[in-house]
Amino acid sequence: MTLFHFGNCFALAYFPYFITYKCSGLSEYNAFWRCVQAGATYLFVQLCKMLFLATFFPTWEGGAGVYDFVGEFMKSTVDLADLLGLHLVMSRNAGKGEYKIMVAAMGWATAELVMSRFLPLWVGARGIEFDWKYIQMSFDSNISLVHYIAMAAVVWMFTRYDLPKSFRLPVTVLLALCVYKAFLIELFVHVFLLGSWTVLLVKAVLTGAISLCSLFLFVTLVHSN
Amino acid sequence: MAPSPHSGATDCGRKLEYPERTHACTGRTCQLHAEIPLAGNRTKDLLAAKQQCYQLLHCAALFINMNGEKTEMTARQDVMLLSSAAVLLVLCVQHLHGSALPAVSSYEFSAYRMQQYNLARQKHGCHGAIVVAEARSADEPLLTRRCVIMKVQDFTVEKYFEALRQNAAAVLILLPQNISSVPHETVKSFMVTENEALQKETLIPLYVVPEDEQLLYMYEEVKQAAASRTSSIFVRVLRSMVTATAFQILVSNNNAIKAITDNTIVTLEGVLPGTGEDAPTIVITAHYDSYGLAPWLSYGADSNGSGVTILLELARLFQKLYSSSSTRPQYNLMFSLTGGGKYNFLGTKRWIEENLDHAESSLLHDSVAFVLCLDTVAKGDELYVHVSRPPKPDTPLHSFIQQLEEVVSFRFPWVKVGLVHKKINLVESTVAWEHERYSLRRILGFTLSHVEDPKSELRGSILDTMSQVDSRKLKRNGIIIAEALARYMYNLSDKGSPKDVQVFKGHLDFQDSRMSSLMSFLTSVPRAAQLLHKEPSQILLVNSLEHEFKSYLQQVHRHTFRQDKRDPDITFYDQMNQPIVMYRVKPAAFDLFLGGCITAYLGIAYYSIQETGLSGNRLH
Repeated sequence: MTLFHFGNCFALAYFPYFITYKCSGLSEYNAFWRCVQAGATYLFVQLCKMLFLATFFPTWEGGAGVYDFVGEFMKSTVDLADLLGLHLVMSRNAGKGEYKIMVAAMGWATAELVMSRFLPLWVGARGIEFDWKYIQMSFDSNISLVHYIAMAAVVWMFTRYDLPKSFRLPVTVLLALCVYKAFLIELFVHVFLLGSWTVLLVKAVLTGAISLCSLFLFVTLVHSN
Repeated sequence: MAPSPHSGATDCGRKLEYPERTHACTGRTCQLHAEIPLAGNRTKDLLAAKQQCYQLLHCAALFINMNGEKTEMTARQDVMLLSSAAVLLVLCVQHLHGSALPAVSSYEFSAYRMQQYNLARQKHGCHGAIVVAEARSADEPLLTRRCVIMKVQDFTVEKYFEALRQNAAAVLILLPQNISSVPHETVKSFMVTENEALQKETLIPLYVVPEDEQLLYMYEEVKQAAASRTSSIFVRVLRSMVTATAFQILVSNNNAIKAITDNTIVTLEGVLPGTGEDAPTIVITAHYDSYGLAPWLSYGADSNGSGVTILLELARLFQKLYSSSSTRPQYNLMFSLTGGGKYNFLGTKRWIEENLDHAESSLLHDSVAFVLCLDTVAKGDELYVHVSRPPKPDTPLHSFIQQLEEVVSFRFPWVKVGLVHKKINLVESTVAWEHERYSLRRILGFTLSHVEDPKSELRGSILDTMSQVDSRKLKRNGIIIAEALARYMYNLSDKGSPKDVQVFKGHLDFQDSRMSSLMSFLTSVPRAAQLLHKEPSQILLVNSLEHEFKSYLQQVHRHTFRQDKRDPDITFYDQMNQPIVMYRVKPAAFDLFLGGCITAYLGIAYYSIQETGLSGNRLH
């Protein structure tokens, strides 16, 4: 029943997106095409980042056992382009804060889901052999959804002109965390030699922390206006 | 435990299928593939953890059974039971998969198929090669259409024939890397089963593969599955749904098994000519091929690497004696290394025909004192002289045997020399010893061996490796043969030499280093007859033997005998080396279970998202 397994993984990955789309009220605003536009912006940003990394960053020749901390840190810095892309998407959409955030985040996350997870699932999960990594991949896509919503919210807050002074620092810290989250996870993996399920747990915890903080800041900001 | 280095790939050996989205072009390792590579103690840890889980589950089962016996169950008790069961389940799953399964999900390895041949109108070996079956342990009662996994100690006559009787799909034998660690009785019973298995023909493919981590993990898993068949129904159901890991063995080969029609047998010969006109000839011969369950794994150390080693040492030592005319005896010494020895001594038969029927002049035409055949002489404290007719007194054979007994009684009194007389039975399909080929052409011969029974399992087994050979006994047997030959050829006892004179000593002694390097060289590649004619390492081995002959002997010839295409003496079949893929699969019930879990998770997610949506609305 390996097609069934593919179905399981696909449902696990895709349904939360569907549920979020329906329940966040985006369907009432006919936001489907705006989400698609956000997805197109995602593709464009990824292309630019790939070109930039390929052109300016040398390949790592230090052997496979040693982890190149500085190199990977520099590569993670290129992820700032993600923030710029989200800002671009949100600035083009008129409307309330939540609407902009949700449209940008949904489009971005769905594009990432389709581009980087659908093909491995289709090719791998349908095979005769069983591997836990496909379930882990689908869970990871759920975590990514939450992460992108938090990231979009933080970017939105950063660009507000009426952001109180006391919020500047936490927002900047959260922004930095969002960008370097991938780098931090890889660091943990190499230093503590974690198994794959533990990595997922750590990711979930980190994303949960970031999203809770950003939610708290967002609610406080919206209430104070 | 550092992750093992793999260039450009993940730790688990797969290619990068899921690069992190932002680093697609940089070749970074994937975050989810941070599995720690398999180490031996990790397997044991995981299996110990699994055992604990099953005990936990068993206790949970007992607890729930006990509570179920009560007639009235309040709702609170219901909820408590369900929650405790769920907690236990989560704990078990977390415990088992807190770090991912150590085995890779699909594993390809190379296995060696049991040999298949037709000899003298009788078929031997296994006729099938394709396997599509689930792996099962040999302990299980039901083996039909499954692939039975056995280790060396499981491959007994009872279990193997039980598997055959139940129409198993295939048998896979795991060979340990270090055969000397296997106890002696296990080795003996394995060899006996090997012998029995090769006597008959069977349709069920049998593969032999050297052990490694993944295969050992699979074996342990499958054995545990067999052991758990007796536990309670609750544990069995839970196990089949949640934690069971089955293995599918796949050998997919769409080609039919073909007969090898172009195989050749090579026989080498060389001579040390003696003094005098019409000197009689002594022939020393040994067959150099090996035999076993799988051709690629038959190294044949004792049978017959030992015979070849002693022959080459005798060639070297007698060449020294023959090099100066004062010490040259009045016998011609002819050495011969024959191929196809394990298949009714085909090489010997063709070589005798070549010399007697086709050559104009050959030493075999003239007077031959006797033929000394060496076959399996590296172990034991007995030396048997196998003859097809009891030697009459005053024949060369009789006096040589006397010399042999004298040497043994004075220098090695603990060695027992026995005479075994076996009549040649023309009706029998197998030729027992090499001297029988000579006896059929009226040339007197005998075979020296430490094995008494020609059908002994020691003469053809894949467990016959260097570690099983005793090099001191090999050297001792070599010394016995060399001294007896020298005493016979120089007629030392008639000339009144004392009985304990040592001919071969000092610079003429047997060299330990040369013997051990010869044995290592001979057992470095499998010398099965199917491989000798076309595999490059094996061809190199035969060329090296020829080179050895040329360094010590004269008139060295290499005879290559081809089979008659219409009526071959022996037919071998190919596909001796097949790639096998082993997949880790989960039972169908597990997919359903996972589907149920995912549905529950999605329900919770839907509920929570709706709640956040509603609370968001309430905020405004």
